[in-house]
Amino acid sequence: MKIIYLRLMEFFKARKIDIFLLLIGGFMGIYFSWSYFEIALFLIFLWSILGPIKSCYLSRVAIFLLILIPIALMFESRSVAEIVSVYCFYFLVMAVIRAIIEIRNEKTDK
Amino acid sequence: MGFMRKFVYSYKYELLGAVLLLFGVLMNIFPEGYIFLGGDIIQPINMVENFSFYFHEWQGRVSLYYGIFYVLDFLGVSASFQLSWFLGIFLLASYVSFLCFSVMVFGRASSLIRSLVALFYSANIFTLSLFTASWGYTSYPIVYCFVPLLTGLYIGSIQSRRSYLVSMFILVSFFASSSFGNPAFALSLGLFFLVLTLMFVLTRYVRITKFIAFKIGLMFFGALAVNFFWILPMIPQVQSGVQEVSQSTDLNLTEALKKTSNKIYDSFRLMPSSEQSRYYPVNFPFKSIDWLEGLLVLFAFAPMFCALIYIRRLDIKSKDSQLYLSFLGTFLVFIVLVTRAGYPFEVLNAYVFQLPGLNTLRGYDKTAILLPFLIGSLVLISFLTLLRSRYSNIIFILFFLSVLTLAAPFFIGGIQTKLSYILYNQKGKSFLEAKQSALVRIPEEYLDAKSVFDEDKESYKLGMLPYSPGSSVGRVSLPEWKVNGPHFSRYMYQRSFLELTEKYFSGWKFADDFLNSEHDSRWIVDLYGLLNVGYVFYHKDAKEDRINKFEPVLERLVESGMLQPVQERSRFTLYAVNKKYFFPYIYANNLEDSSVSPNLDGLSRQIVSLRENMKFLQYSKLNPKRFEITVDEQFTGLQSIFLNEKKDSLWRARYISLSGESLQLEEDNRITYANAWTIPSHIQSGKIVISYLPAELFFPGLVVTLSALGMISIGCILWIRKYVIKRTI
Repeated sequence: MKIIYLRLMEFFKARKIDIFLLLIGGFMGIYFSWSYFEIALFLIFLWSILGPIKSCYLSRVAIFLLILIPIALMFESRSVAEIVSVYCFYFLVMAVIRAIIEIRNEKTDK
Repeated sequence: MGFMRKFVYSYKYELLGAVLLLFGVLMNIFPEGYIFLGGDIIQPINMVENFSFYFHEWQGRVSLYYGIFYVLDFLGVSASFQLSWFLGIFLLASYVSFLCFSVMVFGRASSLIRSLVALFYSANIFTLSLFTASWGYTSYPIVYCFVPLLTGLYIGSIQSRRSYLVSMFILVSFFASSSFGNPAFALSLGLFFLVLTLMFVLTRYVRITKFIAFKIGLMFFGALAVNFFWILPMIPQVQSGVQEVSQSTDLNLTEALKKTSNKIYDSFRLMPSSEQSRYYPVNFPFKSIDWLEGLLVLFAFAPMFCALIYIRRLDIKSKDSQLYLSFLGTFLVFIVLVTRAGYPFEVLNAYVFQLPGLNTLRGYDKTAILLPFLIGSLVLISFLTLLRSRYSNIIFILFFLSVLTLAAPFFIGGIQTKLSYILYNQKGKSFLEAKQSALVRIPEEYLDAKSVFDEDKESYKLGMLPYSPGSSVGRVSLPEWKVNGPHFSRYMYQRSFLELTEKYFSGWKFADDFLNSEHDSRWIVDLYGLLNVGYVFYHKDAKEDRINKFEPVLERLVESGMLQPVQERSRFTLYAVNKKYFFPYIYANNLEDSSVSPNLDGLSRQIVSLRENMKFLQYSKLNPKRFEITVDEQFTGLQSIFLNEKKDSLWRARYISLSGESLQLEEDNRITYANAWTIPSHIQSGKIVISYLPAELFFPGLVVTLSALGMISIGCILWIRKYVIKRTI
């Protein structure tokens, strides 16, 4: 337990600015009256850049969500299909942005 | 023979795809004797006679494409068979175009993959929707065939040092102008290249050096120059259109965006959300296998899945990945645009579509037309990586089956006879049994009326009675032969038709009043006469209730001599408007104020006063958009000159004196039922030229276009001399 606590503290110390930015993102969501899910999604988006989260993980979520769309439609749940397709779209956008960053970092490193 | 065998063997997959598409065209041969007339569209018929009208009406914009149908008509190909040409040209051109794109950008791709994806690009749910609806039978969507070729040339130009590709790009963009009858498609294409270029830069697929920037600039300005022949006439029309839109109460952009909004999941499967039930596969006509309908609706996601196969394996070092990301980024931008006022982009797009020009993209097809290409190119890249996978063959076969089933009507026939969007709520019925159909046979007796119009050489419009409106603006309903679309007279008789739903008077739809008013209905002939209607079709094949209501009125009009019967047939009676009531195409009068109040009270009285003071003018018609009137003693005391065309501020009248001095006549904006100008009191001799400004600008634009094409030709000759001939020597 203590080890986890220490690691967390270490993480918070190292990523102070990033966590501060996440908090701002969270407050922004509350200010604009977003739903919890939307706030969470926005924080994932921020973390995909700050974290960072690799584009391949983001794209896997997008593909998973894409598979869910026909399933939702199969059960005549158009509203669910619509929401899932929107999140699928968001994850695709995140994957593209993240992949572009990866490409640019790679080329800069070179 | 050996060469042929080698050729067929080398290109077996490409040829197989083409044969499959040709088979589709053959399966969809349209029934002889029928033409396409439905929705907002009537297919171009009698092109030998109507080509000049198309040329002047569209200022040459659609002439390249309709030139093909001119030749077909000249060769005696029937109007029904010409419909197959619309289908065949579209399917084969888009197939070949995608093949060219894949060769130029992915030279190493196998023929099988290239042909498979090109087949998908050519025959998919989107292209099927074009041909089960009405737009496929016009020049508008032909831009679809040019998108892959232009993209391939664009990428080739900026990726290699082969400068002839720049010339080719410019040349192809000239031919693509066939679809710019609606300039929104040009704007959409321009937006596509802008976004794609930005994505190329972001993904570092292309590094913008001075040389590449120069080439992009050259392609942009070159494409602009070769398209100048329609862009220049369009400028005043756009200005006037923007003004009209800002003043119009009819056009509500937010409403229009909401109406054409597309759900994201529908964009993924290339289906429209609006009126989806009208289109295949939701409109599924095969009753015996209707269990397949639900499966197909789900199966429509298959191409999108294939498109995303590669995203998991992105190799950020490879060029393919950068290209893939560029296409994916562009695809996502276009998804936002296609979604319009739908969740979650309603706020964003409310701003985006307010940007100058972007409100013209409010129709679904303007931006959705690019989605199949973007999905196709993503599938192509994904399949390239699959080549090494052991499951590749299974996936290719599944993809091929999905193409066949999702575009099945192309291959088993019936795109208009069973699957027309007009037949959607008449399941199980063919076009022959349905109450309405887009395939109609114009009754032969209507051809008889042509002799009457050929004899009477004067300029006049045709009208119809009773008022029998179709399902939307500009449509008439003639249920006896299943018509719900534009009136056919313009293309049958080469005469303008007075649209009953048009507002010839600001804010007044006279046809509504005619239908509902209890007034003495004789005013309708006064009005028709004022609007230059020379003959009226009394349609016995109109809606029955309208005929019953109109019968007594017609009797009165005939008894009073306002309408005079000319030709009697079982489906119609053709009446001539009594010459006493007829206002010519160009005339003048000596009244200070010639305006007419847009309501029934006193309408006839006002028109009678106009008639009494009207003076016929001799004029010569130089072309349908330019007239000359000699100014002599007949002009003494005249106040205004009139052109009996729907009010349009782009009509101009100019006085040219004998010494060549020119004076623009002042437009009289009090008059809305025609174009009118005040005649200056001091003019004595010379001439007045009335012309349509966009038509005047066509020839200066054409000079720029021809100069640009000439420069490209010279460049090509020099290039051939420098490289090809030298190498041969």
